[in-house]
Parts: sequence; structure tokens; C-alpha cells
Amino acid sequence: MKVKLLATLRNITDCNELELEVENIQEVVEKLIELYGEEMKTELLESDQLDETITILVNGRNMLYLNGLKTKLKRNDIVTIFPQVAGG
Amino acid sequence: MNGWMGQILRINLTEETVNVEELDQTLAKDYIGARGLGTKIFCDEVEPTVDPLAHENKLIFATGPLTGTAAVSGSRYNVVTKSPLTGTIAASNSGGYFPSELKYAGYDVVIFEGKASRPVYIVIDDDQVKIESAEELWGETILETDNQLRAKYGDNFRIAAIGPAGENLVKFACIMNDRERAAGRSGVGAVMGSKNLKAVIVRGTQGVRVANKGKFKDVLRNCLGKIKESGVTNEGLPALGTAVLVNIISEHGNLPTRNFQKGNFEGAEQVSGEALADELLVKNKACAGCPIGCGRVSLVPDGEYKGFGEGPEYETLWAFGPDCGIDNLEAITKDNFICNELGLDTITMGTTIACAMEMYEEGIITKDELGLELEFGNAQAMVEAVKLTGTREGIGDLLAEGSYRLAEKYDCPEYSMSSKKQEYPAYDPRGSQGMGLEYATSNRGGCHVRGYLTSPEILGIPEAIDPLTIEGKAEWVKIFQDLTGVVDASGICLFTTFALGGGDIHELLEAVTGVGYTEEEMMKVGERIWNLERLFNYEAGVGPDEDKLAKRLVEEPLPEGPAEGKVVGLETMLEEYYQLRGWTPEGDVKEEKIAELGI
Repeated sequence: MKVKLLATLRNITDCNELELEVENIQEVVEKLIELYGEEMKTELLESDQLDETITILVNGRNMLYLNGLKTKLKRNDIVTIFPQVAGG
Repeated sequence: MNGWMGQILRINLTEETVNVEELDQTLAKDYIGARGLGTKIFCDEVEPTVDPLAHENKLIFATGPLTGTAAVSGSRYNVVTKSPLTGTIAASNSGGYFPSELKYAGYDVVIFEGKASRPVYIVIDDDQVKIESAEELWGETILETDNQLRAKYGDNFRIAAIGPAGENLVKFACIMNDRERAAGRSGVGAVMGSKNLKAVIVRGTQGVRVANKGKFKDVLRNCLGKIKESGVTNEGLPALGTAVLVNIISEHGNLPTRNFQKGNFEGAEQVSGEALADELLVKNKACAGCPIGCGRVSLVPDGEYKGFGEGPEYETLWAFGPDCGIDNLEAITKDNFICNELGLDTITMGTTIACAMEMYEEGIITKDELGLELEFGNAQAMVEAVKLTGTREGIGDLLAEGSYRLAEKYDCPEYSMSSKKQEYPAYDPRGSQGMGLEYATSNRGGCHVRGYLTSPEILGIPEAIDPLTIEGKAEWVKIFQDLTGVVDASGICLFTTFALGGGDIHELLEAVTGVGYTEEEMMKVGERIWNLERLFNYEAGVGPDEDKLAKRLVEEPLPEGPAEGKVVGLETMLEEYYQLRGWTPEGDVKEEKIAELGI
């Protein structure tokens, strides 16, 4: 599935999106940390848990209203990840 | 007084007289300042049925007790008047440096009344106030007006002015200050134009007294710490500005596209904050005393959209971008620059063009009538339409009336994406239900900064709530609307609330004014402002029947994305909202509520 990275997360990855083959959101987080190392870990985790300020969408729907980190992913799903931001 | 300067400056443009009056301390305590105090004075002095462009309407510049202090982002003022766009109360908020300078000159509030017999500008130099001829400035752009006044008076004066749009009574003309900050919405610039008032320039040498300096220092340290800790105010906004939202809102499926026909834009990435930072951004720009610095300064170096200036913000990127089906970042940025020069509200300008584009594509309005091939995606035609609007030439004369009057003229008001005749900003409420209630009940018509439900619904601040449900949204909207009233009245920027809470605002107000508010009393001020605005609107003929949304939002489901199939569940939310507000089931403010709030 496609993983889109938005806002300041792109400073770490230097790309806007990537393709991953994983089963669920938890594995997306793990894979990103594996690929991008300590900087990504600091951005995504707080005391080894997903930082509450990180938002993860599956096909535009916040995973909080799906099955959280256990949300299962299908081949054509789009996962979007971004740190807490605001505007107006 | 502490926080307040204790003086009101009253300028009668008909008589060309200037008077200084003492600020009533009880009034200041009950309404705080800026949007609150300005609205109270306005409602006490102006008949709600007044023609907004008649000399009987007044124009009020009002600062808050935190304006001009070291309080985080304490740089704001509000322009209060009756709006020519909506026929409701207008309170339009701007930052920059001009608002603080008004305080330093010794005034909390400036009231402009009557109408000058010729174009004039006002010079406020502490207690020396002069009315000068602006005949040579009339017709000039904002930047040229600013240049000429600076050349004459020097850089120590701060300037607020209208451009050709305000002079031509465009119903959504802004008042621009410090060249490129806008009291943007509801057509306050047209009211200024109707008074033949081109500009106000101000210089002050006085300080703002703080009641408890020791406490203020402590509170400030705490607030600045929170601003620094927050990823929003310390990273996201400085790095990418408000435009960071383009991709995020599009991913959520509530980025209104092609006049709200759908909620995600295929070209979002090309017009995003990330693209802006990569391609056009020159530097950030902050208002007075602001540690965030969300402002953008951009450069289009060459080509047909060449230009340099401040912007674009998220709302502007959206209005001229996705809402018009345009993914050309340079054209959008050029439109922003033109709006800044002419003095036009970018939200209403862009959405009015989007409305015209849909009407054109539906065959309701023809190319002959428009003089332009105004189909979705045509960037050149869009830029031309903006220029024509500022000067009311050709089709610009009709576009200058805003989308509602444009669509109504062709007997299709449902094409106008507006409430109370003011156009919506950049969030489709079918994918953010609480925002729908906010749009419908906003006292100045379609608006996101009266109760920004996008914050919890989409951004998870202060906590995440499901954007697609209606349960509990009425309470969120009420609390956000009341707290926003307090923030607007205090004179600090609403963006501080991405890091600060009501308790912090209360402590800042307490330390500066020393009036002894409890937090509950402070929130009561917000409720008082909200009810006063609503009462004015009611008397002006804009009653509860106007608490509604464009037909599309309640009848046409979003065609795709995460909110596919959704319309706004307005009726249920509205019923609960009226109850929480203590109004009648029909939405009227009860006598006992008026008495309880001491209005």
C-alpha cells in the first residue's frame, strides 16, 4: 500500500510517499523506523508508544475511529501520516 | 487603568471634529476590548437597521488590553461595523504592528462617524490628531498609498488603508494594515470607503501599564514554554505556515473542490504548504511580539505571474486553488498579491469566482456576459477576474457583490457557498460536521474563526473527536465560540490557542488588567459578546431563520472520500445548540439570558 508523509515528516524521509507491504498500521510505524532510524523513532514514538501528536489516516479516516494500530491494511489502501499541525 | 489606555478617540468625518473620551471601566471589564468592547460601543450607538454604506453607520477600530503588551502574539485589533456583505455585525481581526501603535498613541478605541466631504486620511500622533486631504491618494493601491505616506511621514508611523476595492465599495473589501495584514472579512473596507476615509496613520510613545509585573513575567514564561513545546506553534506553523493544511485537509476529504462539488483535490500537492516552501517562499514574517511567525513572504521571480509580497495563507491557496480547480501555485500567489494591492478579501474573492465558474459550466452565465472563459482550471481568466473586481470593471462589477448576490441575480442562490451571504472558508462541513454548525450559527456569516471545530475534528487539538459524527458537537461549538470571543477581545492571536488553553488566557488577562476575573467570569464575557452580536443581527433583520447552510451541504452527499455519502446533520445539532445556549427552541435569545449576562 501507499504511505504518504506530510508536513515536517518529509524533512526526515526526503520523499513524499513510499510503497510498503505490511499487514497493519503497527507494522507501518515499525517499518518507517527501520527505514529512517533514530530521527523517525523520535518523531513517531513517545516512551515506546505512538506519540499522541501523530495522526495516521487510512483512506482519509483517522485510525482512532478504525481499529487503531491494529487496523488491517489492504493492497490498495492509502496510509497518511503527519505530526500535529494547525493553521486556519 | 492597567492594560487599557483608558481613552476613546472619536472622529466625526462630517464635521471634521476630534474628541477624546474616557473609557468606561465597567464596560471595559464586561467586554474586555477589541471585538467585545468595539461591538458593545457599536451596538449602543448605531441603529441595527442602518444602511451599512450610509454615513449613519460607524466604523470602530478597537484594541484589547493585551494588545501592545509582551503577551504572546499581543498584536491584534478588531474592526467593528455593520457589514455591507451580510447585513450583520462585522468584527474583522488583524495583526501586524498598527494595532499596538494605536495603544501606544493612548487609545483603546477609535470611532469614525459620519462621512467626509472629500477623500481624507487621519494622522494620529499621540494626542495630536489631524484630518488631512487624501485626494492625491484616492485611487492608489495599498502599497502605493503606504509608500507615499511613509515618504511624507517616515517609517515610525504605522498605516492602515483601503485600496481601490474599498473606494469602489466592493462588498468584501478589506482594510489592510502594515501593507499586507488584512482586517479581511465582511467588507469593512467598503464601509471605510463609504466614509471617504483612505487611511489612518498612527505613531505613539506611551507604554501599556501592567497591573502585576511579577506575575505577568511568570505567566509569560509559562506561555512561551508551551508555545515552544508545541509542535504546531514551534515547528509546523513556522516551517510551513497555515498552508500546511492543504494536503492534510485534502487527505481527510474535506478540502472543498470546484465550488464544494467534492472534498479532495487531485492537484493538492502542487498547491500545498510543502510546495510553497520548496518553490516560492523567501522568508517567514511575524507580527509584533509573536514567537510563531506564521506569515509567508513569497516571490514569483518571472513569467506572467511575476510578483513579490506576503502570502499566500491556507485559505487563499484554497480559494484560488482547489475551489477554482486550479493547481498553478504561481497564479494563486499572483492573485494573493493583487488582492493585497487592491484590498480584497481573498476568501470571498476566490469563492465568488468558483461560484461564477460553476454557473458558467452549467450554462447559467455565458462567456458574453462574463467577458472571460471562466471555466474551472482557467488560471488566466481567474487572475483577470480579480483585477476587474477591484475596479468594478466589466463582470467585476457583479463579482464585487459577492457570490450570493451574483447567484441570486441569475435565480440560482444555491450556487453560492455561503451562510448569511458570507462565503465559507476552506473546510467542507460534510466531512467535519461540527464546522457545519459553526458556519450556520456564526454571527458574521460563513466563517471558520468564530469556533474553529477543525481543531478537534481534524487536527486533534486539544483532543481528537470524530469529524463525521454529530453527537456532542453543539457543546464543543458553544465553548469554542465563547472562548474565541474572549481571545479576540483580549487582543492576542487566536493561533496561540493551539498551544495555550483558557486558563492561560485568563492568567494573562489577570496579570495585565488586575480586574479580578475568575475563569468562569472570563468565559461569561465570551458568551456576552456572542449574545450581543446575535441580538444586533436579530434587530438588523437577520434572525434564526438564517442559521442555515447552503443547500448543497445539507442535501447533496459528498461523492467520494472518507466522508462519502455524508451531508451535514444540521437540524439535530442546531436544536441541541439552541438549548445549550439557553435560547428558545426557535433560536431567539430569551429575556432571562439577556438579564443573566447583563447586556
